[in-house]
Parts: sequence; C-alpha cells; structure tokens
Amino acid sequence: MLDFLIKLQTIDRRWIYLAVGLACVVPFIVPMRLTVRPSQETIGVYKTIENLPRDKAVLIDSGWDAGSLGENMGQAEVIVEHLFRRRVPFVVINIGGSPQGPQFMNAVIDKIHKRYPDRKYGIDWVNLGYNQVGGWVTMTLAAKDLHKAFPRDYKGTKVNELPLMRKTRNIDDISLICCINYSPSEEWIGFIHGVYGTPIAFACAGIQSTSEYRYIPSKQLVGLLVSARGSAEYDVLLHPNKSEDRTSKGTELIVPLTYGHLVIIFGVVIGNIGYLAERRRKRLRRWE
Amino acid sequence: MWKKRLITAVTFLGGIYFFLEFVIPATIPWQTTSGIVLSVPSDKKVEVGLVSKNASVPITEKTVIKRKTHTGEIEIASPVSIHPGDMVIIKNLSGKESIGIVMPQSSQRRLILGDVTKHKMVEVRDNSLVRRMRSRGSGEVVAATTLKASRIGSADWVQIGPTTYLSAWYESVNDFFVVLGSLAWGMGLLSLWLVHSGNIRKRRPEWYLSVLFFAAVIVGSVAGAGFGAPETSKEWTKRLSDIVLFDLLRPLGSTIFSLLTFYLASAAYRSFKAKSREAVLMMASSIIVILGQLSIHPTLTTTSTWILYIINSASVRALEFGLMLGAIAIGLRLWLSLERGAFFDREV
Repeated sequence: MLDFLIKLQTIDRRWIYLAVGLACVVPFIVPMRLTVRPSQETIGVYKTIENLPRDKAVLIDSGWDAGSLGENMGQAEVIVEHLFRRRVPFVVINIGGSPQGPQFMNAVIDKIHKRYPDRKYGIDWVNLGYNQVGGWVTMTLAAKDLHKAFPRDYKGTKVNELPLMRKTRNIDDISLICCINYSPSEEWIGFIHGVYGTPIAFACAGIQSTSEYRYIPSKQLVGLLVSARGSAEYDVLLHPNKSEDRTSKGTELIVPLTYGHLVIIFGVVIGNIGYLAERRRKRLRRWE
Repeated sequence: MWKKRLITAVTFLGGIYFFLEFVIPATIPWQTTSGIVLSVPSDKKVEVGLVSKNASVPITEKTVIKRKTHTGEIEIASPVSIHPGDMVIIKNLSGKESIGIVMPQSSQRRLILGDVTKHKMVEVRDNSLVRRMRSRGSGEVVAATTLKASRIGSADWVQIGPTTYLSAWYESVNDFFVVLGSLAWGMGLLSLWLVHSGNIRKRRPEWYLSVLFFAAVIVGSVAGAGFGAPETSKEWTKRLSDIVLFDLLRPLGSTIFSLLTFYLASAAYRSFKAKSREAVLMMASSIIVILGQLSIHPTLTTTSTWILYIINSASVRALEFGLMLGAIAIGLRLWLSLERGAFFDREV
C-alpha cells in the first residue's frame, strides 16, 4: 500500500496535462451550469456603476489583448453592457497597455452594441485609441486636459467634433475610472485618485488580483473584478433572474475554470500524499 | 570621457529637478494665502476667505452629506465627490447637524470643517501661482478667471502665492518624456532592423526566421491601414486587418498564455510539498482561497475573503514597502550614476 502511495508523487506530467485539458474542454462539450455567488469586490463595482450620474462620462482604460482575453474580455463585456443599459456615456482609452487594446475593445463594444442598437458612437461612447507614452505622465495630462492627451479618436476624427468629447474635457467631467487590463496600473490610484479623489475600479487577471485586494479596505478602489470569475459574478448581478441572458465570456469560462482549479488542487493533494508516504517509509527504515 | 560626463550630468539634473519639485512647495509658504474664493473681481485680484477649523466629523457609509452649491441650492453629495471648499451640512446618527466649509486636511473618513473668519484681497502678480486644491491637499494650477466663487455656498479652495518656478516647468519636462518615449520606439525598430538584417546578410543559423520577421512587419503595417474602418466596410485592408488581428494574433496570443495553465498544474503537483510548517500553512491558505473563489460553500468564501482582505493585504503592503525601499536605493544609484552599466568602461 505504501509503495502505491509513494508512486502517487511520481505520476508522469503528461497525465496531469491530460487531466487539465479534459477538465477545461469537457464543459464546452457537455453544457453545465454552476451557481455563482457575487463577491464583495464585484458588488462594489456593480453598485458604483449602478449609482453613477448620467451627465458625466466613465473613463475606461482598456489595455488587454489576446493573451489575457479569457480573463479581461468578459470583464469588458459586463462593464460595457452595464454602462449601455444605464445610458452612462463612456470614453475608452489605452494608456501604455497593449497596442492592440483598442481593437479588442471595439470588438466587445460591437458585440454588446447589437443588444442596444440605439446607442450612438460619439454620443454614448468614444474610443480614443492608444497612447504609447503611458504611465503617470499621460494620466496627469489626461486629467488636466483630455483633449491634449488624445487629440483624435482611433479613427482619426478630431475630438472636438464628437459631441461626447465636447463636454468631457478633464477629470471633473469623469465620474469613474475603470481599468481593464492584465495588470492595471497602480499609478491611477496614486496620481489620480490621490489627487482628485475620482473613484477607481480595477478589472484584472486572477494572478494579479492578490496585489490589488489591499486597495479595497483602504477605499482607494471601489471594487475589483477578478478574472473570469469576476465577470461571471457581474453577469449574475446584471441578469439575476434569467440565466439564459448571461452570455459573457466569464459565464462561459467559469465552469472550465472551476474544474481546472479542482484538478490542480487534486494534483497537489495526491502529490503530498505521496510525499508523506515516502517520509513514513524513511522513518520506518530508520527504526529498523 | 566627455560623453560619460554629459550623460552623468543630464541624469543628475533630471533627478534633482524631480526631487526638488517633489520636496519644495509650489509657492513660497510664508507668502501664500490659502482659503475659499469669495469673488474674482478681475484676473489680477481674488478675494479669499480665510477659514478657521470649527469641527472634525467622522464619515461612515450611513452619513448623509448635503452640499450647498455655489448658487445656494442644496443637493445630496457622496463622500467621494466632496472637495475642499464645499459647504456641507452633515447629519450624524444622533441627529446632530454640523455645517461648515470642507478644509483640505479632510479625508474620505473624516471631514474637517471650518468657517470664514477673515476676508483678504490677494493680488495675482506675474510671478504668482493660483492653485485650486483638490482632495487631500493636492492642487492644480489654474487661471484666476476659471475659479468658482461664492459667498453663499460651495466655492473653490485656492492657494495663491509667489511661485518657486519648479512646477512651471513640469509640463515641459513631461513633453520631454513624450519625445523620449517616441525616440525609444524608433530605437527599438532600428535595433530590430540591424539585428535581423545582419542575420540575413551573414546567413546565420535560422536566418529564414528573420525573413519571416520582415514579412510580418510589412503585412502588419499594411493591415494597420484597415484599422478604424467601419464594420460594414468591404475594403481589402479592413479584411486584412481583421485576419491579422482576430484570426492570427488572437489565437496565437491565447495559445501562448494557455500553455501557462499546464505548466502551473505540473509545477504545483511537483513542488507544493508539505516540507515545513510554513509550507503547510501556505498550502492550506492557497487551497482555501482557491476553493473560496469557486462558490462551493459560503464558509469557504467567507474565509477566503478574510484571508485576501486582511492577511494578504498586510503582507503585500509589507512586500511593497520593502520593494519601494529597494527601488529608492536603485534609483539613487542610477541618479548619481553609481551604477556600472554594460558600456561604462568603454568610450560610447
């Protein structure tokens, strides 16, 4: 029996890859649903957007791309849907993130726009594209004069020609800053929230979230969307009664994510069973 | 030798500017007037009301804050929207009302309120700086005519005094960073060109990958012409842009990052062993946090949230503190050119 337990820590890694692969793929083939309970940090973002005034815009700093699509796309979908639903205008920028960020955000907006066809570009939302300088330099400039930091939108139209941008000139015209990125820049907190007090929400990858949680008790962040789980939870808040309306990437991925995590935990547990069995074997041999 | 000295001098001057700009106030403290704006008779004169503290009010989520706008109307205000200079009426849980002007020392959890005790007409000279105060004592430079004035309600909190000139150059220095950033992009492209063209010229191993690199740059540049075209556009550049972005880059990027999952699972299986008490503690907390994220049971979720909000926050703050001390040490070495770089011992 001890021999068998010791062998548990020497399983070929290809079996582990297979187990992870199956755990992630099977939920796509066999449709499954899990109960998702919204967490405090997700509810914080939801409540903030739910209580936003309609006469000010939301600034979305979206710098994610294909690499973090599984985590950030769902977050972008739920935030854009909430803003469209409440008719709160938003401005999309990309300060120092991936240069492909604007295109990926456009794809998300186009998808959600189909459900709200009466929303118009230039009035309900604007995409100002990518600024390669990045960092606090562009953030502080955008806070003082957004038109100077982004003189044209991603199509090349001058911002003065866009109705939404004519009344969105600086940080006073922004009610919330949402950063959707693999690792949102903490400079927003220091240089913008610390100076102007503008509420900030982050939507980040799971692995980055541990360093962002500390900003919630100190109220420097109103909330945090963590990975696909955050977007699945937000979807539940957006559609509390009709689960068939929950179509975000997060809802799609929460089941494979869950089973993938369980496989990893199972692997850790059986690895430790093998390790402890080997220790016991060594102790028994010493006594002999 | 002179090039190294030039680099050292420019590095030092850049660092000393930012250090002094951070340490020295924007205006000369003993000649600065701070208070709320009562009126702006002209662009050279501002009537400032000097405010003395009269109350310190704690703010909770249940506190109801009413703000008197600059026209005298009353509106409900959220704690995050309160700025220095706002006239507020706060009712605490016992029903007691506190009325006053919010002072810059206030925070999100405590408002320091005051009353106007004196009026002062301040002259805005050519070397004067007018700073409108935002939350927590940070200010932005504005023109006197843009200030919001009021005798009956909320107004801007302003600091007017002779400038120390350092903050006047801030935007120019920022512009310098913008230019430097653009140069860095150009340098990167140039460097890639030199490396890959060298590979092709000298037929180094796997030189065909350099040919693919140039082909990818050309295709990507041409595809970029299609970016921004409307969804319904039939232009071939739009179609090429969609193919490059959504049919090539997106799957490739997702594939590369997805490989991490397999490495993570294999590494966790092999290396997460209970070899010591600390390792057992780490493993137990990580399992609780992972299971808590999966909505399996409310107790697990509560415990996971407690670990993340309390223990994790404290340890990350401690870690960041250490990182920042290290960053300051490295920054000092770079600023004073004490760091020996790759080319330091050669003529550049």
